[in-house]
Amino acid sequence: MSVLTNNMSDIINISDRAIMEEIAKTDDHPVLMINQNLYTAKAEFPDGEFYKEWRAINQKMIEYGDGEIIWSMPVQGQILYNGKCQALSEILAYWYPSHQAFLSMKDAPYREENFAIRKEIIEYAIVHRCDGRNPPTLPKR
Amino acid sequence: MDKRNDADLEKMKQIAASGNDEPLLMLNLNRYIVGEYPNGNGYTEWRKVNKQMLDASEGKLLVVLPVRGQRLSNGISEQLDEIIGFWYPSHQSFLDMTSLDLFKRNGELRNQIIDWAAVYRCDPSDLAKLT
Repeated sequence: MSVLTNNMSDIINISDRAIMEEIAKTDDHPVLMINQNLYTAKAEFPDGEFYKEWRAINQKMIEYGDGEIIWSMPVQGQILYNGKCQALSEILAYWYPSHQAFLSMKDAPYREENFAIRKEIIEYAIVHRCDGRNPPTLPKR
Repeated sequence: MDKRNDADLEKMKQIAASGNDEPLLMLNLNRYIVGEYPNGNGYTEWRKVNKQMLDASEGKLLVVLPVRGQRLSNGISEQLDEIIGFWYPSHQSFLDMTSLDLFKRNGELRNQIIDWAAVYRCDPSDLAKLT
């Protein structure tokens, strides 16, 4: 099951939220959200005002959930595909200490602003929920 | 079947030859055919050969993330099983890897187990803070 958020094209997966709520009650552990974003021309990624404003608001919302943005990687190309070739602008990784911490962001004071500005800057997006117990580290050289 | 993006390959060659080559991260988004992930014979064999290929190159396995769900979508929504990040010290090091016999074998095995995939070439500069 999924549901449209207030006035935008982002679709929250309600079934996945139910799974997260169950994990939060029974076996809570860190979670990593991988965000794949394609921005609109209006966003003028990476230096546009709309984009910068969203990142500032988004940062405040994430902090409310004790989360950390562990990487923001500009996408420079797509070397291989097996299915539709989907262009992306950026892939971000958000780490949260628990599923409950993520769920608590529903009460974050900047949530509405965050989603309102996303409507202006997001052309395409997917957020994948990954196991956050083994967050990435750089390889030793 | 995996399809190579020749336009992107040309860009990589240009960067490698520019005198300003730099590190890159290849982020692999994979969905496997039913029964392969995470313990199928084909998947296990691919990961083994993939490691051998990396060991024979300058590439490093940075991150392996099992995907548990999909939280939000805005457009066509492809379910994934796993996200894997491979780091290379330069575009040339990635190109050098493609001449290995193990690279060909790696691709053959992928084609037996992949249901849907995309590999994005990313700027890893921001990853420095992970050290």
